[in-house]
Amino acid sequence: MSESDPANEPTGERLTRYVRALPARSAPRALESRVLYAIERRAARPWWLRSFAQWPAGARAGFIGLSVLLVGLGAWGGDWIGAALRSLRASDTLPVNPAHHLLTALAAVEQLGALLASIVPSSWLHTALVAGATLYVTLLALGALAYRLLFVGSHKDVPALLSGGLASSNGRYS
Amino acid sequence: MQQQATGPKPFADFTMFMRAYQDMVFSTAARLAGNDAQAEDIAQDVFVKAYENFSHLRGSPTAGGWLKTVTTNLSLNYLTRYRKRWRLFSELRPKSDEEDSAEPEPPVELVDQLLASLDAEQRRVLVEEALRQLPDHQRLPLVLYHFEELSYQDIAAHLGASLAKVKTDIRRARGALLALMESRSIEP
Repeated sequence: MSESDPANEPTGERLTRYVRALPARSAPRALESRVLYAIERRAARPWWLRSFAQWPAGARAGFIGLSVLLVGLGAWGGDWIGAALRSLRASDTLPVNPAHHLLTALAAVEQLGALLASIVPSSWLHTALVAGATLYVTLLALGALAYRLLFVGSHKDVPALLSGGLASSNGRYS
Repeated sequence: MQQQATGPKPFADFTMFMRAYQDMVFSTAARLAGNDAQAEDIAQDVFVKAYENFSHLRGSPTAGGWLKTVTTNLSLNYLTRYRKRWRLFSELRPKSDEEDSAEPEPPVELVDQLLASLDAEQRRVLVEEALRQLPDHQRLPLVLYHFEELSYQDIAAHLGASLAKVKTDIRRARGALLALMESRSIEP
């Protein structure tokens, strides 16, 4: 913007000069209490409703351990699960019909899995599992990359925090 | 602001911090959103994010800029659905844009004629009432350019529109704003 000869300023630059000098509007009186209430409400959320990074360390470790256990059981514990299901179905400890039906269905799935395992070599199954996991991770990474490049990269909510201070996204505010 | 020769004085608590910046945050959101209720929602979200980063912000000399950037980005997020629609139309109507870009710029004297005789508060009311009457696709680029001083390139990147479309819409919005202000100023 030219400060030397205002009479020659284009209309846009003259308008900018005026509007940049305008006073700010007063925020509504209720804004402060609304913000404090929202902060209190967020702080009162139970840990399992917060992001995973804010979970207690024990809960995070337990969740990861349980996930690994389930994946391991799914991949290598098929025989053990099948035997457990069959023994449960055979026992009379489950008088409720829906539970019995569920166990029957699970046992049928297990028998199908066992049949497939007897036909398909185990090395093929393990290769397929590894390939599936690799594809899953690759697609997740591609999705995250696309999100960062196409959405967050051009439109971040929060500018990055730099060590020793803060930087705005366009570097023009200070 | 809390700027001093030796650096910024850290805010004693978050409430003091909020009181120092809430007018700026609300004004920015209201100009971009064109709607006070939505601006209040946006300002609330901005300060919740600020609270999460308060340990960094409380003594930072660039806290105001950080808040302004977050306010701008959140306001644009609130209008995401509209932005996508606008981007689509911006690419579908190049011929119309070329015709519009040939419109003459309003004379610079008109700006002085409308604003020079008013005090700051009267100017604010006149400008913001006219802003609220502009459609989103004109108000957004106009506010980003004239109030927030973003470059054409930054605005195009924020809105996902072509540079030519942004320039055309800002010029057209400026004409519409001045016309609205002119009609307001001659009302009895």
